[in-house]
Amino acid sequence: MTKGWKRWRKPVIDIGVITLLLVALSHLPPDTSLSERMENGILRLCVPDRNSELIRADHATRPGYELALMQGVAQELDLRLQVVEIANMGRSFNPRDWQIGRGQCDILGGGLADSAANRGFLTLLPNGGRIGLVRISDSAPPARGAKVGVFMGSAGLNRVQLSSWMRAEGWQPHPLATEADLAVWLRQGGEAIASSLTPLPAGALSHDLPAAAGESTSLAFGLWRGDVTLTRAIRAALQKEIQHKQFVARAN
Amino acid sequence: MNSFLPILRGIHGVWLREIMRATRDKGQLLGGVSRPLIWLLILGVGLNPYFRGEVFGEVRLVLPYSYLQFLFPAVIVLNIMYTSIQFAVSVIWDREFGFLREILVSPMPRWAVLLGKVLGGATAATGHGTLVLILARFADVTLTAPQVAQAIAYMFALSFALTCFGVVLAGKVRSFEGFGVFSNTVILPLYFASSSVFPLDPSLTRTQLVASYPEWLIMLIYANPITYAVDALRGILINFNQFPPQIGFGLVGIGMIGFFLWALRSFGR
Repeated sequence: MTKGWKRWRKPVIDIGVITLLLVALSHLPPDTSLSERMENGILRLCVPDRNSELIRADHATRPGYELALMQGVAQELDLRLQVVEIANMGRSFNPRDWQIGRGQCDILGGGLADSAANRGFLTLLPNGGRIGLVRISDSAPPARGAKVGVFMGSAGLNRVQLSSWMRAEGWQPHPLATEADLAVWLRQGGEAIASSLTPLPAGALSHDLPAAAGESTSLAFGLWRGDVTLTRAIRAALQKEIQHKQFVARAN
Repeated sequence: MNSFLPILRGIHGVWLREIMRATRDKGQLLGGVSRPLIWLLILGVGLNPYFRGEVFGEVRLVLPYSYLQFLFPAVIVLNIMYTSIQFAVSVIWDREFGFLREILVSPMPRWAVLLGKVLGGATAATGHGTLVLILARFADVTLTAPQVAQAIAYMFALSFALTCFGVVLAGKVRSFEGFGVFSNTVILPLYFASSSVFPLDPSLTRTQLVASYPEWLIMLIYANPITYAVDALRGILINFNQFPPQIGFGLVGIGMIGFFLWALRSFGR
């Protein structure tokens, strides 16, 4: 035993020292994303400029699910949350049109789906909410050949899958760019498909769509790829908030 | 069974000798640590900002991982390549100082001697690859226990194939100095032409790829087996593949058998 230990003592000590060195180095911050936020004292959350159950217009008293959650996260990190309303986010499903960059936002929210398309651009942190597609109508599904309005919002849901399903149903998609367009379309007696988070006009009924049209998915906050230290801090604070559920009482 | 036991003991003895030599070689240990530090901490952090989406939807290359995460498995493969191929120096050393002659005239079959040596080299190389895993937190790669186990098993298979390749190279080179230069001219081109430091966007077609990179470079990447070896490890560690992972596993499997047989032909000549 002693002889064996003597033989291996030096290599074991060398490998131990190397391991300790690497463990210590693995705790170095790989970027300045968190330290910059701490220095400024502000965390900027970019959201669409429309009232929804996730981000309500009344930020202070009835902030909505995602805003209340992010307020808790900011408080946990000892930062002031600044909500940046981006008009383009609610107007187009194409992120290219939003023209959002690091200069404006630290985090994106307000109905971002945890989808492969969004994951291609952002690091997504699921926040416990769900989003899917619904058919807005007060009657039975329309006949083949009917024109059906489609308002996808900014979530990043699977448009290709929906389009294939609609083709299979024999429906012609009629793209609707804004919530106002959707409201006009419905007022004129049209049928529409929209994300489950879209506020419905008074009296309108929503029906779930089959999984073939697009399965419901988690909602997430989006952070810039490569902002490792900020993502770690937000992830930890978010988990704590979701676990304690204190934000739920504040949300509504 | 009784006749096989002495062979197993012999393989263990040769393996242990290689492990003792590897763990006492401070230069090799230092190389095993300095490579990941230079590649991950300096190159990775330095290039990370240039690979992130500055404007949502405007980023040209759509990859679901950060550059540091993308580079992490490649640095493991680099560490394994260096340790495995450089291991062949021990074969030259043994040949130069007559140890190989002595061991080859022992009753142990030639394949068992080679297996012991290769297993020793592969163990040392796997150890060097595993050292890089400690930096997973830095690269923001979250690993589960099954992932780590799978990665170590794959690293060992890759190390085995590359160590055999190193023995083949050692058969072609007769001096230490010559081998040092020769191994660098093999390792670095293989590594750089394997999509290890720059990503090929998997969403692009071959025609679109040609618009980003010259045709000759894409041909080199596609023809390079290390491309698929790195890609398979990326699949295990960050769940991202640019090619079907079976190609990488298959090539490593073929490499283990093929290079071992080739090494056996040249070993001890």
